Amino acid sequence: MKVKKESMKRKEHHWFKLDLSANVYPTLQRRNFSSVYRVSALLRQKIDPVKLQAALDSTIPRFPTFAVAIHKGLFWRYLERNTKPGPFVRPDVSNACMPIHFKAENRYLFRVYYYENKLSLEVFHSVADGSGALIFIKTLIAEYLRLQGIKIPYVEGVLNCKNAPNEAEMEDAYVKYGDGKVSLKRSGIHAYQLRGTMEPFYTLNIITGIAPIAQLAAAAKSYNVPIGVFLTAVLMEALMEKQKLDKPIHEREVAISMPVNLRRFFPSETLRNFIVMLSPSINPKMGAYTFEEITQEINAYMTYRLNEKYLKANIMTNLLVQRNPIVRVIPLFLKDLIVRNAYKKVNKRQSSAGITNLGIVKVPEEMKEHIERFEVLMGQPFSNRTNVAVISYGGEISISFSSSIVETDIEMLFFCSLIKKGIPVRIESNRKYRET
Amino acid sequence: MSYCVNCGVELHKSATFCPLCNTVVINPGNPPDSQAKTPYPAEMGSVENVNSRAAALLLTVVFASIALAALLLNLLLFKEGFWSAFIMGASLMLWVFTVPVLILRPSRLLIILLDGAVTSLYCFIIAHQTEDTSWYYGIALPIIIMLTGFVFLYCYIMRRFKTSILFRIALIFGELGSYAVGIELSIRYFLYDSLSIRWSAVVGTSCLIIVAVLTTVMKNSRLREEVQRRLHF
Ligand SMILES: [Zn+2]
Repeated sequence: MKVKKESMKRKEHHWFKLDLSANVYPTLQRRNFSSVYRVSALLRQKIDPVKLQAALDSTIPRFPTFAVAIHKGLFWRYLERNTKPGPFVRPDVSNACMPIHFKAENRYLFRVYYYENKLSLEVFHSVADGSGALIFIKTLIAEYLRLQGIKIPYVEGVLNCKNAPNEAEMEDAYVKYGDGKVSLKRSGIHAYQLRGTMEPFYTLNIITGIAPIAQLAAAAKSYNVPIGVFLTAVLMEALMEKQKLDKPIHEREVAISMPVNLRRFFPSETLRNFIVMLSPSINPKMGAYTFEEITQEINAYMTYRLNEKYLKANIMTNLLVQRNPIVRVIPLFLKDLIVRNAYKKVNKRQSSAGITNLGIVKVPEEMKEHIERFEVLMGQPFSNRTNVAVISYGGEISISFSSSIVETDIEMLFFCSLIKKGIPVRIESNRKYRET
Repeated sequence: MSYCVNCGVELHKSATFCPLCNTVVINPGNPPDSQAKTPYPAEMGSVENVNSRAAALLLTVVFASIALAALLLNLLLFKEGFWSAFIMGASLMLWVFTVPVLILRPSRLLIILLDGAVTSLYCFIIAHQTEDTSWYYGIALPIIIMLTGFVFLYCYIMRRFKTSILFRIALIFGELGSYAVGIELSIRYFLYDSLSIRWSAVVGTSCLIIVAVLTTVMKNSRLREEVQRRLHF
């Protein structure tokens, strides 16, 4: 009897508290903005929507943290299990990462699109981070391929949908590792902000550059830095160049915010959020930086911070606020008001751009021949800033810029710089020809 | 597939221009493949808007039932005069004020015209019921038309042209001045049959001075930058 009770308790999750990162995204939600990102996989064959829907239907029960709706409590928002029909796969659209309205689309917080051979998963950031979404899409592709009669083993992050959901995948890893005593001071810099002509409502301009990893790795090796640092440095240089071209009265610091996947440092299987933000910055007022100096600067910044102790202190910065008894009893609408204003005044101008790197995607050997490429895309930025998302698979790296402004200066500076460094780049985009 | 002559990147085989630098692809030996599937679909998606549609439906039901109830009471119980016209007119006006805003959010210009029209209609109902329509044609209608016109003009310019904040302020003051003069003209014409102005001359002149100052500032780029810097938000 007791055993039965326990197994039931283990199985049924009717609601989840939002994790530490998840809390801020719905607060910033507006009619024309929400934190949505996209992970896409390009298969070798045109996608069959009927089979894709069947694959999705069998995948969802394995991911209870995805099948949720967001609701308002008196003090905090929370995720509730969503049993409404859906979500339904749909033909892809040109404006990726449209805002997700919490009450629309049967209250689901993720979408699945198909276009030709491309399968895309769009997720509201409160549900999961990039690593969680990647596991979901890999499992979905595996289910889809199995429906075509292809045998795929349950390894390399492909979950078995016949198994019950695993408790460890639903944990709030911030809480699990949030036992630190010190926190960090928040930086109060006012970073350089891109200016540009805003596109009309709901337009998301995408430019993806695809490059061979081998050549990129060789280039990064010549500066003795990892690929991630190398790309961040190229972006940093492009932003600094752009600021110079703007001829501002006061040059500002150029800062790039980047999420760090904490699973690399704290063992956790969670499919929810488990990231912190770092933001390397360079102050052009200190003098002219060469590219090599920029790479070394960023590399030093990262090496100093990428360790368990520093990252734990970073987690504690926000966690201690969330645990503060006064903060906890402030009604939700007041919290929203305060956070939104703080974000507009401080956070928004703390970085000039964002870059996220999901690393190299590993899939089971049997899946490799059916997948051509992975792509990842950050959604509509809150301000003019440019967001870059990077993912590697099968010898190619795909670097996607998303922006809501007309001008392509940063993208051009970035990719031309790669070309100059001897890395060939192939470009794909949804941008339209600009009549001049 | 081609390479961009300007920035050296390889382009998708369907590309007719370089997305980075907007340079057109001219490659007679290997022209862009117009049959090839583009990397992204062309169709725009739009977000389902559950909230406002439900609210619009609710408001429609509420206003319609109020109007209907008034009409029935008027016809069956309190038969003195056609008083329900006021209530039905008011319901219609409030409906036009609220519901199109919820549904037609993007076409603001149309909403302004609708609001102007329904306000005129309501005033006409009142005038018709009180059997004195002279004030309606003399004062109410001109004032409503002028107000609608000025608001429409402002929104049209905002939408059609890129405007600086200084220009917007100048436009608002210009319109306020003209509106004051217009109001006084129609009142005096209605009361005394004369086309002269007094109090609105003061308002109009002040507005004119403000517009003149702002135009000078706009013309002078150094001054303009200074003002923009101090007023930026
Ligand atoms: Zn080009």
